[in-house]
Amino acid sequence: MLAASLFGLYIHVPFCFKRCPYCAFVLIESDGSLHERFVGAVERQMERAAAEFDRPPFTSLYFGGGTPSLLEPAQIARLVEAARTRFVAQGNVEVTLEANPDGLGLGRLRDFLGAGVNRLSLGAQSTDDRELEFLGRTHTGRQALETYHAARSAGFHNISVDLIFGLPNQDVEAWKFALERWVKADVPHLSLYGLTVERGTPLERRRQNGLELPADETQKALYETAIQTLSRSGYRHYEISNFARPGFESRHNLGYWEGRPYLGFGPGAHSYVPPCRWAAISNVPLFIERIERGEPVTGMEERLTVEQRMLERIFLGLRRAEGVFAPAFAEEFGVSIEQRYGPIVAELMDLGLVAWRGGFLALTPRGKLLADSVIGRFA
Amino acid sequence: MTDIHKIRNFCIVAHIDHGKSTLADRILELTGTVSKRDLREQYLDSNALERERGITIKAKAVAMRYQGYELNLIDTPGHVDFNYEVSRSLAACEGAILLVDATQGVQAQTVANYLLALDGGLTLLSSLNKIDMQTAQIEESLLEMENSLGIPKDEVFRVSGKLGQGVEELLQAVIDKVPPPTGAADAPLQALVFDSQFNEYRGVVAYVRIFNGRVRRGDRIRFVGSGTQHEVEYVGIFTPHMKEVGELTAGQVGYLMANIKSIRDVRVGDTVAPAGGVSVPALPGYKEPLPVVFCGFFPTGDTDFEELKKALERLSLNDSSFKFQAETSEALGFGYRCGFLGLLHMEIIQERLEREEGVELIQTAPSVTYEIVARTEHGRAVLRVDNPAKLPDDSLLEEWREPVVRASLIVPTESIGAIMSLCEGRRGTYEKTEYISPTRVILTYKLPFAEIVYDFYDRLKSLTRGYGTLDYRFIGYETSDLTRLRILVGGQEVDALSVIFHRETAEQKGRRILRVLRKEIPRQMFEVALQAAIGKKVIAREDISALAKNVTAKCYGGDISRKRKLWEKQKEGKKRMKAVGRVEIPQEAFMAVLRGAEED
Ligand SMILES: Nc1nc2c(ncn2[C@@H]2O[C@H](COP(=O)(O)OP(=O)(O)OP(=O)(O)O)[C@@H](O)[C@H]2O)c(=O)[nH]1
Ligand code: SF4
Ligand SMILES: [Mg+2]
Repeated sequence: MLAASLFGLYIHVPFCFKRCPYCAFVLIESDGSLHERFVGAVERQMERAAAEFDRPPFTSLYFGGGTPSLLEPAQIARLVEAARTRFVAQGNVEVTLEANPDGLGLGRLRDFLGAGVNRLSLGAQSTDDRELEFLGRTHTGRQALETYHAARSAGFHNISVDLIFGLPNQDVEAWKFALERWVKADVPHLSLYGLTVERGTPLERRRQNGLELPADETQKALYETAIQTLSRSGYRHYEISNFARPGFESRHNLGYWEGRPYLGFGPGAHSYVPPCRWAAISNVPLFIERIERGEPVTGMEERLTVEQRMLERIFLGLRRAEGVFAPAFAEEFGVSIEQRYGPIVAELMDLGLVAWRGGFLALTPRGKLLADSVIGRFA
Repeated sequence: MTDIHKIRNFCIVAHIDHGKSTLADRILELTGTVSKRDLREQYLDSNALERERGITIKAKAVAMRYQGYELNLIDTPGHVDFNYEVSRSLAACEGAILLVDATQGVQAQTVANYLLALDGGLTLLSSLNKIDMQTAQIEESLLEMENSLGIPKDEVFRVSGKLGQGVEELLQAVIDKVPPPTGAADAPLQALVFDSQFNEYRGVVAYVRIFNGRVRRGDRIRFVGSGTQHEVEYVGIFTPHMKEVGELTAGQVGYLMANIKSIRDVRVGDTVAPAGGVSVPALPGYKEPLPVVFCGFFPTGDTDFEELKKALERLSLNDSSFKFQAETSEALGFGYRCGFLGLLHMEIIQERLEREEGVELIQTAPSVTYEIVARTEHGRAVLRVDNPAKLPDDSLLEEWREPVVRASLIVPTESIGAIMSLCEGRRGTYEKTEYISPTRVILTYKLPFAEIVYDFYDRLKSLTRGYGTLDYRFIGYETSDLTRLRILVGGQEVDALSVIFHRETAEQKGRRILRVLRKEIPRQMFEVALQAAIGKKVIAREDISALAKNVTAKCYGGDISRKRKLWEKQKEGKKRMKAVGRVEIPQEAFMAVLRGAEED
C-alpha cells in the first residue's frame, strides 16, 4: 500500500541564523557546528526508513525548516542523493528548498540548482523594512526582491514567495501595493500567512503586554484584498493560504492535502503512513546523538481512528479550492459525507458557508474566511 | 455498660472559621484519641471537599476516654447553609463550647448559635479562641460578648486551639460543669437520630443519642415517626472511625445500622424505640431543613439524562437535604430542578456531581421560591414557583409573593452608611441598630431573600473590608410587585435564562444582563440578536456581530495532527455549551444572568 502511494519525503533542517520572535518551529540558532553531523544523521535515518518500508517510490522531496539554505549546497546534494538511492524517484521529482534572502547570492543559488533543487520557496515575508524589523527578520525588502531576481537568473523557474499579513497598523493599500510588486515580478507562486501568535513566543509576550494586532475585520479586509488582487492577475487560490499560476501548484503540499502518505526526517518531522502518524523528537542535539547511537528517535506516535481520518479528510479537503470529493470519501470510509455529516452540512449550507459543486463539497468565499469555525462543526 | 454519671456530651459551635475543628484537634490529642503522629490539621474535616475548602460541611461525632469519663464531642459546621446541622447536634448534647475568634469578635453566627444553644437549655462554656494571635483583641471581644450575649467576662475561657493553651482547663470545665445525661438504662429504648450517613456496603448509618434504655445487635427496633421496623445489625461509637461495640446505653452517643437501604427511610430527628407496641414518646425532633435556593441541572456533552439521574440519586444517599425533580426546558431539554440550603450547598453539590460522579452539566441561575396567585381553570390558586421558566402566562398572574428574611448584619461602625445603602438598594426595611461595642453594631433589616441569595454576601464583605457578617432567618412571604424578565437569543426565547425581578429594577437589570451575555456568548458564524422582554414588550437589545475571519494560515505535514487535536479540544469545550437554535451558549452564560443583573 505504501509502495503505491507514498508521495513525499520531507527533511526538516532545524537551523536558523536567529529565531524570529513569532516563530515556534523546531529549530536552534546555529553557528554551523552541528550541520555536518545533522546531514549524516538524516542519511542514517533515511537508510533505516528505506529498510523498514522497502524502498517506496516518491515524487517530491522537500527541505523545510528552519532555514535549509543555511546548509551548504554540497550537503543538500548529499541528501538529495541519499533520497534517490534509498528510495525510488518516480518521474520528474519536485525538489523544494526553503530559503531566506540573507546571504543568498547568485553563485550559491546556482550551486543549489546544481545540487538538484528545482523549486525555491523564498521566505521574503514582506518588502517593507519597518514590517521586517517588527518581524525580527535580518534582511531588507530590497534584499528579498533582489534574491528573487537572482534566483530567476540562476535558472529557477519554479519559485514561491512567503508573505505575512495582519501586522500592526498594516493597511489595505500598503498590502495591495506589496502584492502587486510580486505580481509585477512575475512570481509563479505565493503563500500568504496571517500572522498567528503562537504560544510561548516573544510575540505572545508582547501581545500580553499590550501590543495590538489588527482586529478581525481588518484581517478579513486584508485577506479579501489578496484574493481579489491575485485572482485578477491570473493566480488560482488553490488552497486557503496558497496562490499559484497554472501548473505551479506545490506538488508536495498537494500531497499533504490529499491525505497521502509521507515520510519525514530530522528532528520534529512528522510522518504519515495511514493509519499511523508519528514524529521524531524535537531536541536537535539529542536527535543527532540518538541517531548516531543507533537508538530510536520517535517522540509522538498516534494511530488515527476512522473518525479522526474522516475529520482530516474533510478539513484538508475543505481548505482546497475544489473541496472534498464525495465519491472518494464514500469509497475510502464506506459511508458518505451526507450519511456522516448530513445535518452539519445542511446547516452550513443554510448559512452560505459551504456548497456542493459537481460532487465536491467546498467552502464558499465567506466560508473560506471562517474556515476554522466551519471545520470545527465537523469535529 | 458505661456509668451514665461518667458521660459528658457536648458540641462546639461558633461562627465560620472561628476554630472549632482546630480546637477539636487539641481535644483529640489531649485525650489520646488520635495519636500525635496521625493527627493532621482539622482532623475531623475528613472528606475531600472539606479539606480542600478548609471548612466543615458535615457535623462529626467522636467518643473519647479521659480521666475515667466518656466524652462525646460533636464538631459542627459554621456556615449558614449548614446551620441545621448545629440544631441537630445540640439536641444530642447537654453542653456546648461557644467559641469566639479573638481577632474577629462576636459575629453573626456567634449570636445565632448562642441563641440556639440557650433555647436548647444547654450548659454553655464560652471561650475566646486564637488568643495566641498578635491581632487578637481580647478586651474588645470580651466586651462584645458581654454586651451582645450577656456573658460575664470572668466566665469566658481563653484558649488557643492551635497551640493548646487553656484547652486542658476547658476540658476540665466540660467535666465539671456540663451535667451528665439523665435517663435510665433499664427503661425501654428511646434514642434520637441526630444525623445519618450512607455506607455503600452496609446501608444507612444512623447517628444516635440514646436517652433511655439500651440497644445491641439483634434488637428489633422501630422508628416512631415513620413507623418502620428493623433488626439492628451493628452498634458502635465513633473513635472517630466507626468502631463496633457490644451495646449503647442511656446517655451515650454512637451509631446503629439496621440494613436500611435508603437514607430517606431514616428521618433525621426521628425517635428509635423497641419494635412492637411498647409506647415510647417521640423526642422533640426538628423540622427537616427545606431547600431555599433552586437551580436547574441539565446534562450536556457525553452525559445523558439517565446518568445525571443516577448521579443525583447517589449523591442524595448521603445528603437528604438537597432535593431534585425532573424538569423539561424548551431550551435545554430534559434535566432536573434541584433545591439547596443555600448557595454554598449548591456549589458543593455541583462540584461533587462533576468531580465524583464525572457528569457534565449546564447549570441555570439560582432562584428562590415564589408564591403566586394566578387564575386557573378552577378559579384562583396559590402556586409555589421555584423556576422562572415555569410561570403561568403573565396575563394570568394576579399577585406575587416572595420569601422575606430578617437579617442581622454585624459590621464596623464606619461602614454603617455603606451597608445601609446596600440594604436599601436591595429593597430592605430597616428595623434596628444595636451597639455591641463602641466600634461594632448589629443592624437588623427585613430583606427579600432573593436580594441576598446571590452576591449580597460578597458585597457585604467588600464594603466592610472583610469584617461584616450576616445571619438570617425566614419570616414568611410578603406581597411584592415582581415580574418576569425573558431573554431571547436569535429571536428564540430561552426559558432557562428567564429571571424574576422587582418591577422597578427589571428594565435596568435586563439591559445589564444583555451586556454580560454579549460577552459570554462567543461570536458565531452569523449575527445574533439578544433581547430582553417584559411581558410582550422588548425592553433592550444587543447584537453580537458575526465572526469576520477565523482561519489559521498554514497546514502542512506537521500541522495536520496539531490542527486536528485543536478541533477535537474545541469540541470538548463545546460540551459545556448548549445549542439554542444555532447559537451555542456556554455554561457561564446561564449563570451570568444574575451576575449581570447586579453589576454596575
Ligand atoms: N493562630 C491561631 N489560628 C487558629 C486557631 N484556631 C484555629 N485557627 C486557624 O483558623 C482557621 C480556621 O480554623 P478551623 O478549625 O477550620 O475553623 P472552624 O471553626 O472549624 O471552621 P468551619 O468548620 O468552616 O466553620 C484555620 O486556618 C486554623 O489554623 C488558634 O487558636 N490560633
Ligand atoms: S527564519 Fe523562519 S524558521 Fe527561522 S526563525 Fe525565522 S520564521 Fe522561524
Ligand atoms: Mg470546622
